[in-house]
Amino acid sequence: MTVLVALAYLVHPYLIAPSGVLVGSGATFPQAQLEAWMSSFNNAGFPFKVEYVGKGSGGGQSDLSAGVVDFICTDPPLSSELWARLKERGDLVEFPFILGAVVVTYNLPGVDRLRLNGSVLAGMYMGYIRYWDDERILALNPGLRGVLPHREILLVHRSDSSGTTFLFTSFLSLSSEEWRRSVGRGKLVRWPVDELGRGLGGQGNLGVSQLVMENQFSLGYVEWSFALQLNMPIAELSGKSGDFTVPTVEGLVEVADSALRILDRGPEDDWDGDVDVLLETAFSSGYPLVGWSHLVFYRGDGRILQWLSWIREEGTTVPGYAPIPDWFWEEVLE
Amino acid sequence: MRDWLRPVLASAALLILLVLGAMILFLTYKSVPVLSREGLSFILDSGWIASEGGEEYYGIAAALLGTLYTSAIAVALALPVSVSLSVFVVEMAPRKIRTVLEGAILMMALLPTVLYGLWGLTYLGPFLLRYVMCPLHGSLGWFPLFSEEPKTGNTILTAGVLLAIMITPYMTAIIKDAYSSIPREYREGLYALGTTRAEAILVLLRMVKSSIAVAVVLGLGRAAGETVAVSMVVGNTMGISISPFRPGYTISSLIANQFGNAFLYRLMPSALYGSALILMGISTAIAVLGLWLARRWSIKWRI
Repeated sequence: MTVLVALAYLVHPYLIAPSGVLVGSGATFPQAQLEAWMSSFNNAGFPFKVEYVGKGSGGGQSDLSAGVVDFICTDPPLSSELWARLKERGDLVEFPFILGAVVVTYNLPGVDRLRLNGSVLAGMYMGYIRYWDDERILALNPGLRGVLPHREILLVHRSDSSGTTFLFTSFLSLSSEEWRRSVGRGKLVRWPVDELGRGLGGQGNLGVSQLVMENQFSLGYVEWSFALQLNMPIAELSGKSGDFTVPTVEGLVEVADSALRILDRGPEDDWDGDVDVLLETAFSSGYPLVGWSHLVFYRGDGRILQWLSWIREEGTTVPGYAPIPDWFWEEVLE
Repeated sequence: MRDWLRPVLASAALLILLVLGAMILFLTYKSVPVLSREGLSFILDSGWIASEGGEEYYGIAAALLGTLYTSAIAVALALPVSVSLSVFVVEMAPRKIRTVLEGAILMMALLPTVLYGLWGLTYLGPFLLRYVMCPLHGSLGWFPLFSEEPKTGNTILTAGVLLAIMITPYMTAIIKDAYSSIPREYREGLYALGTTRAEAILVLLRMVKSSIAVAVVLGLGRAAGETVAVSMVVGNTMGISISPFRPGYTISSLIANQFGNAFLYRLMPSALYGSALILMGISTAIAVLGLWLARRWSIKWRI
């Protein structure tokens, strides 16, 4: 392992990066958005460039602890303990900076509109909702009676430990008491349907997307941006309210707006636990599978603020993401 | 001349032994936490329960069986093909076709494994589902191996067939070289005794069975160690079943899938090193057996 680490560091861009480069690492969730921002920013004539290495939230957090990057992105916020420890070293700031969503996608020829909720999804991934023409699915989709085939459902999930799985299983836990007790939520869980031979695991969003596209009668969950890029169907979901919806930029911003008001935290604060507030807000008032990613850095480097101001004024949001509400940006950049 | 050559060449041998020894020590050392906590149930139990700060439990039985199952399918399919291909190339193919075949075998061996994986996912899996698994289940569904209703192309069987395709060039190269190096006099002798061509080939093949054993060992080792391609087609799920029509896991694909975020968890790195150690143990056992057979069966040509 030591050798592997040494090799990884050898080829790592931030060790050979010239000083005119602002270097970040961390979550892959905001990577497509960051790349779009960086490619415009890096050609806009600023005296420095921005680079980002997507390696997972955990990797970003350990890079920040090691002090080898200028900023990191992480889906779960720093734990209170890590936040307190790193705060001692300098003027650390943390805040959510981009919104995204997880969507449920499927491979059912001839079905372009499908409605699902958390308890039906939990039943599918537990294995007891076995066929596509199950009454519990038909009850949500009366128009699909006779259309949904009597075929077994293949359930695709992430095989690697992932924040996407964490959001998805949190939603299932909020929706189904049975799921919460027997499986629970996490970045990596034991999928009951695997033991029945109807589960499939894919590595990364791409792995899951490929498995869904190659397997008829399958269903899986991926990041919203992936489903849009690959033109995959997106199921309408409902939370507590019972209204079915697909994610929209406005809907996501609205949810984040309420969650930020409930949280009432600023960049100087410890954000531990904020994801639960966001998920519960989303579950009770809109599209239920909303996530955000946090930006963490030490204040003092003027380049980061310059970049953030540029993002706020010129940065456009790519499909599959939504911007943090404007008033919050203002507060952050005060 | 001999004085300096010997230490130079010996140092290469020493280096190999040192690297191997260091790897075994390293893997053993890293596996201690999981093995001391879970003992034998690490390999006899199935489950992959990870939690940051909470209880963790790792059992690799499903992945271990998946590795053995896919490798066995791979060698069982690749062996007859490699033997037939070797005999055909040496005995029957006209020179031009022989050159083409040898080039094709070499090319197959050099293709990056991720290409096999992509091809397996998009073509081989759906093909096997439609033209192999479904017909087998339909006509021989009473047979336990085929009783499971096939639902996906991402299965143990697909991984086994893909691995068979990937190891065939290696096995063929070894068998073909051995077969073609049998001195001409033996062949002439056989025909002089009045054997038919088929009888002669069987006798000649028996003469190279030590090389066939080596080919099987190398094939098994490559199949068990293959990572990228397998993890794209095998389905990556922990379930234990005798049905080859189900998705499964292998140790290599388990390591590939979990390594990225393993360091978020306290015990998972150790569990992955432990899996690697078990994989190494199995490969070593197979290699020792194969080399023993090869030595027992090896023949000194006497002309």
